[in-house]
Amino acid sequence: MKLVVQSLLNRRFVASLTVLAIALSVALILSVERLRYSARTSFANSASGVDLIIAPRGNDVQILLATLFGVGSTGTGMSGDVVDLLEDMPGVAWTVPLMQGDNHKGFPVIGTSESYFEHFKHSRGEALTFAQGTPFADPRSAVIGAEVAERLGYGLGMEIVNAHGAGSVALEVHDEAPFQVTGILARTNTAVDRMVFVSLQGFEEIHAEAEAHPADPLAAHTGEDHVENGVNGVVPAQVNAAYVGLSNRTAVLGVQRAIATYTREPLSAVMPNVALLQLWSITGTAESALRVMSLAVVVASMIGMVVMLSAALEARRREFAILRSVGASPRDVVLMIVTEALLVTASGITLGLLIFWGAILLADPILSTQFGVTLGNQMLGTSEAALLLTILCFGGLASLLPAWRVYRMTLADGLTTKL
Amino acid sequence: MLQNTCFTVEAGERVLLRGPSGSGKTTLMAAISGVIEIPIGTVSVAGQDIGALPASKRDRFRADHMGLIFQVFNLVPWLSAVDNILLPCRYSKRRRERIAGPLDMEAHRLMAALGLDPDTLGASQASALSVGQQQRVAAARALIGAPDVILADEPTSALDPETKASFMQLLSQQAQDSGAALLMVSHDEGLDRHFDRVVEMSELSGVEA
Repeated sequence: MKLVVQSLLNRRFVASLTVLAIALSVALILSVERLRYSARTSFANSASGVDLIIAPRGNDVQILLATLFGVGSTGTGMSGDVVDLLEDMPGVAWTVPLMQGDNHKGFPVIGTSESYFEHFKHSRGEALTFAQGTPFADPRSAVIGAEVAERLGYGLGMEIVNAHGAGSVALEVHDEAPFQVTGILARTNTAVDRMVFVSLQGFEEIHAEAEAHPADPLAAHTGEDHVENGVNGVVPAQVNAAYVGLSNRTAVLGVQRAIATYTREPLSAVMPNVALLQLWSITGTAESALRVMSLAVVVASMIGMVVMLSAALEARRREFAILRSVGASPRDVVLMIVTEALLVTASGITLGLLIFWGAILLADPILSTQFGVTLGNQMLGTSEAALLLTILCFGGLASLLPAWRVYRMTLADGLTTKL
Repeated sequence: MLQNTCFTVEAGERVLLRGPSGSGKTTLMAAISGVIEIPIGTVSVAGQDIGALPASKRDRFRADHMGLIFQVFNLVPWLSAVDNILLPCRYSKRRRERIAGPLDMEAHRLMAALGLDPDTLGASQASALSVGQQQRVAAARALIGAPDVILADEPTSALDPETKASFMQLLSQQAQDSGAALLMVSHDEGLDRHFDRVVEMSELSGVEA
């Protein structure tokens, strides 16, 4: 072992380059895997408590992304009557109306009723809890997610102003209609953390002027009738979507059929988990490509190590002959090469882990703000550890090639030291 | 103690095997040290038939009972002089156990006995030593742990005449002190006085070259 270390130190330049190559490849593949896994868990956790999403007819994935993740929008609105209708359907336990289209400093603003905080479940059935404050007290109340509070440094009682549009560029600021933060949600590690919730009434009021000239002239517009009712959960004339929770899972098909055949306006009933699968099948190709690429980089770094070991063999013939003369068997020499490879791979993996952890620390805040995806503070998952172990074994295996050459070489050379 | 069909070296005896290059000296060394495959019953060292041992046992046996010195390139260049000297102790428990006291001390003692200053040269990398110094380090390595026989393959050919004489003097002396037999092959004339006996290669018939 000491011999191996000293031998590597003697070639420290090439050896450290090889270690660096392995480290980078390890960091890359770990990051890709972690990102993939985190994105999937985060999305699945966000979607876990809703049985159906009802929205104006559109692409399932688009509806899913817009409602549960606040990415993009559902486009047109649908009549608030639909929500009332849904409530009366057999098997429906609860409905939560949603209004969208505004943002607060890039965070999506959702207009909803108090039932949202009651019924919305995340991460396999966990209810939302308030870290501070309460749900809406009056139409000008706002509830913010943990990420929003943390990033923007908001506390209870702060006044916030929303802007029209979905991006962080404020096209039209509703500064005439500020909201007051009355509640901050506990962290969920889902998209909810980066959302701002206001009451339906409040959301509608700030658009009262803008909606005097509705974008869709065919859409029913009777908002004024409902504005007074506001906080008490009465649905306004027009909403963007609604979450539906079922008391009986088997009712899902009945509700879907009813929605699909609803004649007054075209609607979609999206099952979040099904839509997620569609989303994964879309992103799957890119994911696979990314994985294959990072695997290829690992393989390349391993080849680099084999090249390093093999290239040094010729120059080390003399060294091996000397070791043979003092009693090393060809097996000892082979063992030296394999140990060298394992040592280089292990150092590479260790350095790669450090790079990976550093990258997580740097990227986590950005990813969770921008996409609501949390990489997690887990140092090393079991599957990741298994991956690293595989790489280590692969390193050992790869070294068998130069080791086999050195075995034949030592047998052929014997004690001949003339070169 | 070391013999084939027609050639025997007694324990502690110092023998010079002389012959021109190409007469099979190096092959003989390889055969005795067990690096190449040889027929059963051709070479035995310390009572052990080398040809009868499997390859891995031969490596162990070589580490335990023999010290080897070559013409040039005797040392692992990136190891220090002391680490080079101690190499056999890595592979041979027997030689390690034959050393009383710390291994480093023994390496230093041998260096001093062979005319090398252990304090200044002990820690220096082998590649930084002169050829003469390297050969002395190689001799110390062959001697450490008192093996039964020291095989030297033209160890003086790279040395200048004065160094040659002093090297032979010290090697011969140390071999005698440790009780090891010394078998050296060389084409060099004028080394006879350091040996108990001189054998010409041409006199040997049982050695396959």
